Amino acid sequence: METEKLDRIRESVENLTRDAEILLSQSEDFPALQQNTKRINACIRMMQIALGQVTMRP
Amino acid sequence: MKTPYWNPYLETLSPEALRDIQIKKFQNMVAWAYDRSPYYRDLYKEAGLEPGDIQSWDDISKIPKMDKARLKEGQEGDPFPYGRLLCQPIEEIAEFRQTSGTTGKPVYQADSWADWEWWSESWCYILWAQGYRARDRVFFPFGYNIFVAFWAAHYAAERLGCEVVPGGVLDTAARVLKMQELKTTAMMGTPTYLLNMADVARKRLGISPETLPIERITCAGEPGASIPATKKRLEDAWGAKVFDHAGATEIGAWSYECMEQPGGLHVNEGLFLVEIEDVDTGALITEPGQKGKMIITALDRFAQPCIRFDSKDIIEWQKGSCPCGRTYRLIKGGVQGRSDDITKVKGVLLSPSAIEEVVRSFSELSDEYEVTVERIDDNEKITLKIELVPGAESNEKDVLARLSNALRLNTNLGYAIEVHPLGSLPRYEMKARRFKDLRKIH
Repeated sequence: METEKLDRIRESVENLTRDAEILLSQSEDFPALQQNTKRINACIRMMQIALGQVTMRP
Repeated sequence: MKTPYWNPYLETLSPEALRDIQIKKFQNMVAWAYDRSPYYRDLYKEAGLEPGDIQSWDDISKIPKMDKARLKEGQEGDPFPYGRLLCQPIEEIAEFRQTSGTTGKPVYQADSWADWEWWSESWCYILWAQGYRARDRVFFPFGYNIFVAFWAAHYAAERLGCEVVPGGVLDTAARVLKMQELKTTAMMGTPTYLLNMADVARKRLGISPETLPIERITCAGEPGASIPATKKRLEDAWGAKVFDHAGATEIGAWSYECMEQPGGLHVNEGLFLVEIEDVDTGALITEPGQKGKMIITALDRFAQPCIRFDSKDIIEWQKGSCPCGRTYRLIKGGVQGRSDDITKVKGVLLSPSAIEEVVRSFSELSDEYEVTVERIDDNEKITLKIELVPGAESNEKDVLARLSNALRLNTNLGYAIEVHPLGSLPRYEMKARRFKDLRKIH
């Protein structure tokens, strides 16, 4: 795959990660938002894995 | 989408780039387990290791191996029922599954929601490589339960956009009728069960299974779909392409056959790190041509990690690359057996799959057979129980002579062959147990 395209994809995934983190931080006492954001985070993690990235840190 | 790859990036990456990703993920996984799991921390400390000690590819083998016994040991204590193996708070566990326990007490498997997504993600590679697309209506003739079996495949098929038909509590005949009614185009099962299903369609329902619009079948649970004679039986019975894959509860879905069917399975090296070890010496096998047992690490499974797990599966690297263009290495003939199934009889190594290959190549024999090995006084005796299909009885003597010769040629051993009435040998729905070594019992 072209490096430029990959870089753009990685950047989009990073933006998604940031947005999901913001959503999660705003979701305290809002289960419908919190639990669905956790699922979004799991999907984002699959995208990071698909791009060969290390996803969880100790 | 026209791409033959679920992941056009990882599946075509250069071997060097893949190894680079694998070592980084391996280092991270070891550090994660050391930090989060009291069991792994103690295990690594006892071995005199800290995560920082894994600097290069050669350091990987320093990490102690896991096996079922260690997993069970690690599951003693709190938090129940996963014990000290668990790396995330129990509140984050979303899915429970367990091993079948055919080799003792079961291992419980904890998965977070992200791990469960990862499970189905690993299946997406399989299904896409085998031609599943959104147009498919996929039937799952599987009892959805505590065993992982085709659960992840169900969700992977959904993710591909397929229409999924869960055949859960229906009996075999009802499943066949539902497949006929809905014109399903694909299905999954163990080779044993799918052969049994074809038999039920023919004998109980008067339906020729090859007339159903099934185009592709994915098998799991037994080596059968990589054994040419069994694959041919399945393909003839269902008039469909049959594909193999390998996976396990504690590991994930780690390998798959692609549309090119090059005689082996691709190891999903983007998600797993596979090492092959000589069964006797423990030396690492890196080149094709020598069988060994698999030691595997799931690189992205975090709640209950799988790090250097000794699966007992016997595999072998395959020579050459695959015309499909994937750079993921191939294992020749799939999983060729289990190190604890391959046994010495009369001083000769015997693999149950070698017997299956011979028996299933005889059209005069039914799909079922059973092998027992026993010790009588100082002698070891192998008995092969078979069933003849209708019409073959008149040639019994000739069939038995040819079968005996073929077995001797392929396994270097002699067998006492017993013919049993058609339908009298046990039928299996999940993993078949056709090989019985009675020497271990008495």
